[in-house]
Amino acid sequence: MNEAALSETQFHPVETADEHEPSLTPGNTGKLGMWVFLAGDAMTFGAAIAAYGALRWHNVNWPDPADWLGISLTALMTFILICSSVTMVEALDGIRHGNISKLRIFLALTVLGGAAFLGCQAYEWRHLIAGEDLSIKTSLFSATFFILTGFHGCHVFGGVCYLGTLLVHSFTRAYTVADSKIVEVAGLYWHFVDLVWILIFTFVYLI
Amino acid sequence: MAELTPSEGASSNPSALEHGGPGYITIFVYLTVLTGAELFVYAMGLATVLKVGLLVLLALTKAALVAMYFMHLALERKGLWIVAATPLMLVAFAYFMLRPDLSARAWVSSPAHQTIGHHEGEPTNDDAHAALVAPASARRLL
Repeated sequence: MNEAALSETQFHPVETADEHEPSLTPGNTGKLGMWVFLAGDAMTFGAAIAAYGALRWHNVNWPDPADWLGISLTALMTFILICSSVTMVEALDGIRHGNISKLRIFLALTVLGGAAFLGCQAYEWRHLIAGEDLSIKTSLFSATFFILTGFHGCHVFGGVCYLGTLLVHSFTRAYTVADSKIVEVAGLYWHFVDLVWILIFTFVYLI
Repeated sequence: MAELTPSEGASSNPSALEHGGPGYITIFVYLTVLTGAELFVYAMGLATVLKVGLLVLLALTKAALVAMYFMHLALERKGLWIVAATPLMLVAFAYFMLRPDLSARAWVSSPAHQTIGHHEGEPTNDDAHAALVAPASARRLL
């Protein structure tokens, strides 16, 4: 086999990997960091949901959530969050193709979706607290409800601030394709928030 | 030509995402349909075991779709799947370890009273039970 044929069959890496590169996410250290953070956050949410399930199981005093919680509004909130996940992934697709306008538009839509979700959540809480006199001290049902949805709401608020900062940066800084890593990491956080809500919606509202 | 690993592909080659599976809009449609299915199961008035089983299955399917295609876990290296899957195992463990203990508590199984921070043997608050029952005037949000 001549040298030309050999060179075609040999692997030619574009660049030599740094010895400190994480093997799980080469080229994007921040992505591994975000995944590890999300794993820890998932354990926190998971512990809260597991405790909720364990407290509720065989609990004869647990009220029917349908008597207190509105499903239509919550279904709308779920749909809003799913839509915001789509806009987030489209924003990432935009910057990966060098389309900064697409990044800005879909990031703005994602932030709007998050804000709309928070608005609906605030409306629901106000109805329950002011209208129905339900508070975190009333019962185990109300305590677990407010803790789970409140903790998730804090995450949504943090995500809105995070993505809002990226949106501002997209206008003030010259974002390039290389900055897609930053958007990808932010997207992981936002999709995680959506994923957790999918579970909370099912376990707290529907079951 | 150097072959990209799945993780490198996810990071640097958009075409791997474009041609590696369903599109984002397709996944959005799946998620919307599954959410509708959840609402349908909720409204059908099925037996509790069947309803809970179906709802949990639908929720986990939606969660898997978000993780695999929006978070691009399907394109990542398998080692990252271990990072993502570990919390699930710990949560399942926590639930099955907590449930037998918590279900056996008096304030769970007794239909009498239930207060936050109630200790067995201490006087209970009669109003706490009334708070659990939705008043006749309670309106659901929507």
